[in-house]
Amino acid sequence: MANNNIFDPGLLVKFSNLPLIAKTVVEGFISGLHKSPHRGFSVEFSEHREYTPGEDLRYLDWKVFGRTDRFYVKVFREETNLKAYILLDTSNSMNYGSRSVTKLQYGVMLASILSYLMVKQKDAVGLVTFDTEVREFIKPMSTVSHLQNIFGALEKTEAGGETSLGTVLNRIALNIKKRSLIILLSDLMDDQGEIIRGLSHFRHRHNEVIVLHLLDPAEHELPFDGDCEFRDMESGERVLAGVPYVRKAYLKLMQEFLDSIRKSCGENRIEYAMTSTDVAFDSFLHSYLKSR
Amino acid sequence: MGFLYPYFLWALAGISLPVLIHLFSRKKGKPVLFPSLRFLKAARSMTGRRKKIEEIIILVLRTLLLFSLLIILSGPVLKVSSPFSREGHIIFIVDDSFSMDASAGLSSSEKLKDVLSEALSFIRKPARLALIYLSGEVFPFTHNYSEAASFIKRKDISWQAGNLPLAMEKALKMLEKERGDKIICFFTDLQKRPWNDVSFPEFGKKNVRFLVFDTGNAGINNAGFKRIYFIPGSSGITAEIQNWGDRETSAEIAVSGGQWQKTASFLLKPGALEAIRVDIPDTTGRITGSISTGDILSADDNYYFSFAQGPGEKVLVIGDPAETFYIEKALKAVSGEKREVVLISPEGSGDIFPESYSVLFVSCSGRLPEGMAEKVYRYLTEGGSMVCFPGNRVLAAGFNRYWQPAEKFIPFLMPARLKSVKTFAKAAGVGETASFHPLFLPLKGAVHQHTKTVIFRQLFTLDDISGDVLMKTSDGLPLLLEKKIGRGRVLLFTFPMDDTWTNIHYRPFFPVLVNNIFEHLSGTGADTFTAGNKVRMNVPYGTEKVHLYSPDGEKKELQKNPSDEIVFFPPKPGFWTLEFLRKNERVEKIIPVNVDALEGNLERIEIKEISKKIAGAGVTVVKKEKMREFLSKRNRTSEISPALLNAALLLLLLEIILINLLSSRKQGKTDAQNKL
Repeated sequence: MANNNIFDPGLLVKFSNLPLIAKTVVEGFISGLHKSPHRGFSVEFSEHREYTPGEDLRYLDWKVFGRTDRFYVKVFREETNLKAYILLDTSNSMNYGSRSVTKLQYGVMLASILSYLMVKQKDAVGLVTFDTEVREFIKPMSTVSHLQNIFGALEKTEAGGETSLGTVLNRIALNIKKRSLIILLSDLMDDQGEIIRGLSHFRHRHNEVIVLHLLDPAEHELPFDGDCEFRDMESGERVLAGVPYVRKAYLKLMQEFLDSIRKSCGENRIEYAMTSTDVAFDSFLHSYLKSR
Repeated sequence: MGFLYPYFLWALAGISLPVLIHLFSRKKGKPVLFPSLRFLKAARSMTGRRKKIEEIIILVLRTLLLFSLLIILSGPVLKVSSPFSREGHIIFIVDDSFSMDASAGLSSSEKLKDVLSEALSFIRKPARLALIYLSGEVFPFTHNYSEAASFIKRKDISWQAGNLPLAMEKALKMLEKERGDKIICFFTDLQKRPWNDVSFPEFGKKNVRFLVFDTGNAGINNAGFKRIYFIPGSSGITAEIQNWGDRETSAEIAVSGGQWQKTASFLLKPGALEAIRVDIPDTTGRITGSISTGDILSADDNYYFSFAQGPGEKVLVIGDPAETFYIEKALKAVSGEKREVVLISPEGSGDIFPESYSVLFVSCSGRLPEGMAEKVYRYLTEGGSMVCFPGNRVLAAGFNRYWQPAEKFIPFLMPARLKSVKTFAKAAGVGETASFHPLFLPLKGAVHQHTKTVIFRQLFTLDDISGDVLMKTSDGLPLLLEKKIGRGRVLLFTFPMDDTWTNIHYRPFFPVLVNNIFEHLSGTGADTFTAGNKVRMNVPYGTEKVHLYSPDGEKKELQKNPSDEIVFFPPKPGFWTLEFLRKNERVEKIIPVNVDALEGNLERIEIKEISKKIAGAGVTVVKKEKMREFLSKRNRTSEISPALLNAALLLLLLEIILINLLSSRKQGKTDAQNKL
C-alpha cells in the first residue's frame, strides 16, 4: 500500500482525530464504490431473485414457492435500525506495533470507521472495550451525538491487563439482550477453545458475529535476526531464542493457529477476517464487504 | 613434528576465546517486546536441539581455525618417518668377524667404527639403542648414545668367525618384551658364511624391521691357510692353502720354527686347495707358517702349529730294571743324550706327574700303585701316550682289573683284555704288520727284512679286542695293538721283554720300533684350536694352579671346574701357553690357535637368500655409501605450514558456507526489513 494513501493507517494515525479519520475513510470509501448497491449490513427486504442451486436456503422465500411453485430468494436492502456492538480488545498484547501503528491504534481507527459508517446508514452502534474486564460499555444508538460519544471513548482507550477473551465475551453476551451484530476487533491472543466458546455464546443468543482478527506484520513474519530475548507484553515472561532457528517452526504454528481459528469460526457460522496492521483500511473494507 | 617458533604456541590458550564467545552469545540476546510467546516457546522447543548442534559445529570450526592459524605462525616442521627417532628399540648387530677386515682396505676396523658412529649419529631420543657383536659382546639398551659411541670406538674387529644365529636370537629376545618400533640393523660385509645356520621362518610375526647395511665390496679376492699338519714318520709338514677367489694368484709360503725357515713358491688356481709339502729339519717346537699372496685379507695368511710340546723328548719308563733295560737303551740309541729317559720302579710311581712326559712306557702293570689308572686316563685324554708291556709275572685277571678304573665313566684303557698265556711248541715269527701305519711307514714296506729273526715262544692270548692290531705272529696272534683314548694313544704288546718269551729286544729291529713308537706317539703335534671357540681340557692330576699366557705374554689364572677341567676362549690366533703347577713341578702345554679358515671365504650372500632365511622381515639392504642418504631421507624435516594453511582456509570456507546456510533461513526477515 502506498504510504500517502488516505486509507493508510500509518498516515491516518498521525491525525489523532478519529471523527476526521472516520469521515475521511468512509466518504472516500463510499465515493470509490460508485453505484454499487449497499447491501452490507442491511436486513430489509428489497426484491426477489430466482434461486440458484447452492445459495443459502435461509433466504429462500417459501411463500412465493407456495404460490408459484418456483424458487425465489429474498434480496435485502439497507436497513437503518440495525443494532451493532463493536467489541475492542484493549489488552496489553494489542499495544504491540512493530511499525508506526499498534494493533490497538489500528483497532481504534477501524472501530471509529465502522461506527461512522453504520451511523451514516442510520444503524445503531455501540462500543465495548475490554481486557480481563469490560472497561467501557456504550449501548448502541444511531444519533450523531452518540457517535461523538463513541469517538470520545475510543480516544481515551488505553491498553492494559491481560487477555481473557473467553470469559469477557461470555459476560458481554449476557449483557446484550436484543439480537445484534457483534463485531470483535482483537488479536485473539487467548486459548482458542475459550474464544470460540465465547463467540458461540453470542451465536446462541441469535447474534450475528464478525471477528476482525488484527495482527501486526511482525507476528506473522518474525522479522528478527540472531538471538533475541523476547518479553511477553502481558505476562512479562522472557524467552531467549535464535530467530533463524525458530522462524520456520513459529510461522508454521502461527499459520496452523490462523487456519484453525478460521475453520472453527466457519463451523460456528461466525464471519472471520484477518488483517494486518499495515493493510490500508479501504482495501480491508472493500474486500471484506465484498465477501459479505 | 617440531616448531620453528614454538613461542607462538603459548597463544593456543586463546583457543578458549571462541568457547567464551560461544558461551557469552548464548546468554544474551537482543531484547524484543512481543505480544505473545505462545508460539515462540513451542517453536523453540521444536528447534532447540538443532540450534545447539549447529552452534557446536560453528564453535568447533572456529576453534580449529584459530588452532590452525596459531600452528601456522609457530612454523611447524614435520620429521618424516624417522624410525631412529621414534619411541622404540634399535639393535645394531655388528659383524666383527675378521672377514670384515677384507674390503680392499675400505672396511678395516676403523672404517667399520666410522660407519657405526655415523649410523649412531642419526639416532634420537626417545629411541633406545643396543649393540650386539657377532663375537659375543653385548651393549644393553640405552639412551646414552655417547656411551654407546665410546663402546664402538673401543671395539676392534675380532679374529673370530662370529655367530650370527646366536646374535639374532639374542636380539629378538631383547626386543621380545619391548614396545614401539623394533629395528635390527645388521652391519656386515654380506659374507655368505655367517648366514649358513640362520633360519627364522617366523621372523615376520615378531614385528621387527630388518635393515642390512652392507659395508663390504663385491669381487674381492682372498687366499689363506686351511691347515698345517704333520705326517708322522715323515720329515716335513704339509700346508694346505685355499684360494677362495676366482682369480689365479701366485703365493709364497714361509715356514719357520726355532732357528730355521723354509720357503716355497707356488701358484694358486681359482678355487683350488693346494697342499704344499715343506721339509723341516726339526719336528719339535713351534712352527709358524705365513703366505704372501697380495690378497686383501691377512688374518688367514698366518698359521700356528706345534708338535708335542712341553715334555719334549722326556720319556718315563716304569718297571723293573731287568724289564726296562732294553727299552731305555732303545730310546737313547737313536737320539743319544737329547732324549731324556726317566726310570722309576712301580712302587715309586705313586707321585709321578705323567703330563711331564711325552710318552710313558709301563712294563710292570701288576704292581702299580692304586689310582694310577685314573691318573693315566686324564693324561691320555689330553694327548699323552702310553706303551704297555705285561709284566713277566703278571696275571691276566689282575692286569685286566687294574686297567679298568673304578670311576664308571672311564673306559677300559687297554686295546684288549689278556686271556691266558700261550706257549708255542715251535717259536713263532712275525707275520702280518700294518705297513702303512706310522710305526712301520719309515721302513718303506721292508718290515719283514727287519723282523725275520724275531721269534716268540710265549704270548698272551686276548679277549675283547677294542683296538687296532698292528703286528701279528705268523699264526695270526696279535703282537701289538693300538687304541685311542681321548686325544692320546695306548700301545699294548702281548709279551714282556723277557728271554723266555721273545728275542725281539735283542734284535736290531727293536730300537727302530721303539724309536718309531716314540716318534709316532709324541710327534703327532698338538691339536690346533680356533680363535673364539671354546677350549676345554682336563688338567693333569694333582694340578694346583693353571695359568694361561696369551701370545702377547699376558698372564691369567684359570680356575678348574669340579670335573678337573679348564675352559677358556682364546680370542685371537697365536701360540697360547697353558702352565700347570703342581708342588714344585711345572708343565707347559702349547695351544696353537688359528683363525677359522672357512672365514676366509668371502663369497657374498644374495638379498633374496637373506629374505628366505628371515622370512617375512621385509629386508632392506643399504650400501654403506648410501647409508647417510638413506638415514637422512628418513630423518627429513619439511615445513608443513602450506598444508596447514590450506586446512585453515578450508575451515574458514566451511564456516562461511555454514553461516550462509543459516543466513538463507533469515530471508523472510530480510524482506520484512526491506519493507520498512
